[in-house]
Amino acid sequence: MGFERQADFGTPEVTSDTQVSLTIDGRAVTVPAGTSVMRAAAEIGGAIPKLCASDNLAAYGSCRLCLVEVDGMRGTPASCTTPVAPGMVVHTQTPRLAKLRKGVMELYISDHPLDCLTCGANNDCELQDQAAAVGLRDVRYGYEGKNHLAQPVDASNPYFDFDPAKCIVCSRCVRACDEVQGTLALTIDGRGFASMVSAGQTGDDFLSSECVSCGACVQACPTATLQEKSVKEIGKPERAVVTTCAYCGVGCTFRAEMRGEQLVRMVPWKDGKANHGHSCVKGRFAWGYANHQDRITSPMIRDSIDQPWREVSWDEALGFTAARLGAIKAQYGARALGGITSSRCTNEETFLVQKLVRSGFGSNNVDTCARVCHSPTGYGLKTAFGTSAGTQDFDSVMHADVILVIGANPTDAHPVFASRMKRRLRDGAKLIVIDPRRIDLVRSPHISAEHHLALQPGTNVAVLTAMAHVIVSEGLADEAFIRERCDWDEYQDWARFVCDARHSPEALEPVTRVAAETLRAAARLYATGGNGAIYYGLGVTEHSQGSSTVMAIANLAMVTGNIGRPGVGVNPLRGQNNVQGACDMGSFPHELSGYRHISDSAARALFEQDWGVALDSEPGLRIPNMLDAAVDGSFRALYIQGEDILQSDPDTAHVSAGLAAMDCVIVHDLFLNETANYAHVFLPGSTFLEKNGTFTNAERRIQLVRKVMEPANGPDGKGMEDWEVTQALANAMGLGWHYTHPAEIMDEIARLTPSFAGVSHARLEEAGSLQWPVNEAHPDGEPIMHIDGFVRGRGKFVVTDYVPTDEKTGPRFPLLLTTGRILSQYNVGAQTRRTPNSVWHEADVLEIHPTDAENRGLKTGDWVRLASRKGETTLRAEVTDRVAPGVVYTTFHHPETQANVVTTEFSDWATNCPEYKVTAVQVAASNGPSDWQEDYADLSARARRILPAEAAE
Amino acid sequence: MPTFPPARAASCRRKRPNKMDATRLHTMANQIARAFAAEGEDQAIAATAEHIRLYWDPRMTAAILADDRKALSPIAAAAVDRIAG
Repeated sequence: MGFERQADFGTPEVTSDTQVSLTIDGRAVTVPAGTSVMRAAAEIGGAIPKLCASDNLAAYGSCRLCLVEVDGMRGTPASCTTPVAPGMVVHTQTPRLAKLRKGVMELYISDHPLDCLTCGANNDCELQDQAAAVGLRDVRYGYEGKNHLAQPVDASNPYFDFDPAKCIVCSRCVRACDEVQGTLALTIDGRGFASMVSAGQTGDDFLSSECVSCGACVQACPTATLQEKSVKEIGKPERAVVTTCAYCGVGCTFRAEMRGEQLVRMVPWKDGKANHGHSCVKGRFAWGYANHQDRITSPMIRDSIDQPWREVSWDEALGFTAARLGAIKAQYGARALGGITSSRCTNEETFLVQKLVRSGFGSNNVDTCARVCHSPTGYGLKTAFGTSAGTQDFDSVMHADVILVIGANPTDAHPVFASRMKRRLRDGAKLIVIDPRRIDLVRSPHISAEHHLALQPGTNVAVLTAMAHVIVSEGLADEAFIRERCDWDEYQDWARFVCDARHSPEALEPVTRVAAETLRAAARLYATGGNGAIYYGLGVTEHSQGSSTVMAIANLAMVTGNIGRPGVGVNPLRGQNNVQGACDMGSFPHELSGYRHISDSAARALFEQDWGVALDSEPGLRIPNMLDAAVDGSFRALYIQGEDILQSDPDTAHVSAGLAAMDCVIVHDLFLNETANYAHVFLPGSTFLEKNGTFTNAERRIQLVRKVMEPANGPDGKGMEDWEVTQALANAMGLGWHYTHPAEIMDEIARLTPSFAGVSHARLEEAGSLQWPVNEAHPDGEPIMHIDGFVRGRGKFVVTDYVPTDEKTGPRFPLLLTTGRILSQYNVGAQTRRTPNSVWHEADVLEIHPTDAENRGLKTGDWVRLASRKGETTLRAEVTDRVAPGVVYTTFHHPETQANVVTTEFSDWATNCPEYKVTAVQVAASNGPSDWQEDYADLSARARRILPAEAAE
Repeated sequence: MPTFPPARAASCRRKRPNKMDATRLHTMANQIARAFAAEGEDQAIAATAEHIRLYWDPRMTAAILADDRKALSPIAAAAVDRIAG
């Protein structure tokens, strides 16, 4: 594709059962009833001049350029606000209209700088295009009158400028902020000639306002008023390539707009089925890490971790690694080796890493970072429904009547999906939030949760069981659905269990700290409010009862019949871009791709035949077990693809002890991350901009990732995509792989995985995206699962008994710490910390309730010591009633803080997913960094020393 | 020239890292048993044994089999016995 903007039909698409036929400029057209004349004209290739209209915004009718004449209708109506009518005869280009439009355009241009040749939007400007379209040749009013040309530029946002001198006050930015993003940060200030776009209150600039820098306004702007700084610096792009974002599990698709191999900007793709043309600050703007000076582009090795790194050739690095792995295998056996696949890499790349571990290393010690986020989702939903995945597509939320959000913070962690959810909430859906913190969604412009259940951390199962108690005991269960779709005997056992008086909201109130009446009202609303949809995140899974909570959620959905149609369902919001895909690809130690247990001899035989090697039939070690076994001495080598376990995994002291005990740690990453402090081999990775492949998002949607530039990890185009690095390592070990393109890896996946049988890169090119399963039964994929019956047959009600966590508060550690994320940073921050996103969040802070702060003599900005029985760190406090008394909260985006020094070894009973969300802590005033922080800073500096490569002879 | 002791720099010194000794495995087994306990003793024993069989690496299973059952709940102990055959 060359560089053309995507077509804009002027007003949003309308769906209707009734079709309307009319004539526009002598051409017949038939469109759904309710469509605007403007859109109807655009659909037959017409181009009615417009400035304030855009097909992602409701018609506004303010610019007066899109006027048309309609036979039998008086005057010249605006085509954007005029709906089509049967038999209508429309004229879009007449002498009368031309005169009117030219007059309007003259007024616009009389207050617009005529600096087109030096303007950043030159040749990519709707105002310029419309001036050309209406044939503007002069401005009768002259340019000397009162104008806005001396307004200063607001350059406060790190990614885009606001130049009010160029503004035509079309309100597209304000409407995009309202309708598309739902933040309502922008407004038109003043009246008449004084009308100005304003961010926030008087005195605010874009940065200090409530603007979340999603870029919707920039995309909506028809002039250079709101424009990316990168376009100003680099110039107009010359081509665009559609690819998939590598941040969160929403899986937005973008047009990477390029000049040669230089990325100019990322613009959300309107045809993307996950994001429908919307974006957030991370995906749209935070890609500068790809060219950051910290990026390591040469392989490096060292004999032991007290030595500096040595830059070496790929051949030397791979030879060194293969020899070490071979020696360890010979001495300690195959089960001493393992690998971790990355949920940030492509399906093809994760598949190859698990193939390398199973067929090359010879063990099943492969795991992925889903272990520490959504492994309980896999276990819980497979048990209840038969598939380890969410039941809906994102569009389903537009049909929901009651939205229950538990343990998720969509506006920060899944912002683009949150915008859709907010749109539905503004349109009338009811909201229930179950979260210890008052997340933004609880109360934001035009949105107010009906119920916020601010539960005590660690009591999810108690709250959900109490909700089930209300639903069953008050006769709100959908028995017809249950009889038809679920196991009736299991349901009765479960119903008896939840009806027990000890599960009533009143009995559990002292434990959950949720008022019984509030809980009853929330349960009634979910059961009786129409389509009920549950969205959940890591606040559900990262507990010692994570898997039980997932099953309790499944129980609630089944008992109310909220499964198997649009608008309902159980929707896990996945953390990383490809965490669903990594799980699908067989990254867990007990199962092959497509969730088939390693002990299943038929499934194993399929792989053994294809790969020509016998596989171990016993499950391997999970990440925490690997670290335990390393300390024990039976696990000696680990290949880590794109994950920073030292920072992201709990109980940092234990992780570092495990890593330090190994003989060969291979880190395959973009940067020398924290884990690399303990590594012997560093293999430089490639960014998502430098590779081909696929990601699978939270709605099971498989989308293509397309390479737009050469990998930086090798000179002169000899860089390698991550799958090529894994292949090179496999070949150094003598495995003889010869994939030439990720499409061939996908063909192998399809061959070996029933739910992917119909997937290929060619098919994805053609369809845009596919939601698995894609096979004979579902040739075009399946947006909504379990429509006619559950995948496992009958839905399973599982008795979920509330078991308090072993992590308890007491006199030494009286507060409960819970951890989470914020909008501008992503996970361990390896990428976002290396972008200007840090202006929004330069350090982790500790949220503490005013009462707890006062008791400790703390105020916002104070250094505080955060200690648990595991360790301690220091950070600055933020006093806020967003958290309840007794609860404190922080993020884990910065290695200087390392919140995980404090978190514990406790984990989910079924999957060992760590209990990040509950740690008993004490907080006290502090003078500065803890001993641990100082030691670690020292270690980091020494571990990252690099000796330059020796000059060639 | 200071030496580079990873264990020192990495740990909080006061804390012992939790080794993959049987203590950790006892906690895991007890947690699994507790999660299934509501299904009744017989069913819970079978489910616990099955869970360990499906998800534990052989060295973990071997370690818990080799250890005594004192730290295990009755359901977990019975499940481990069942795996031992």
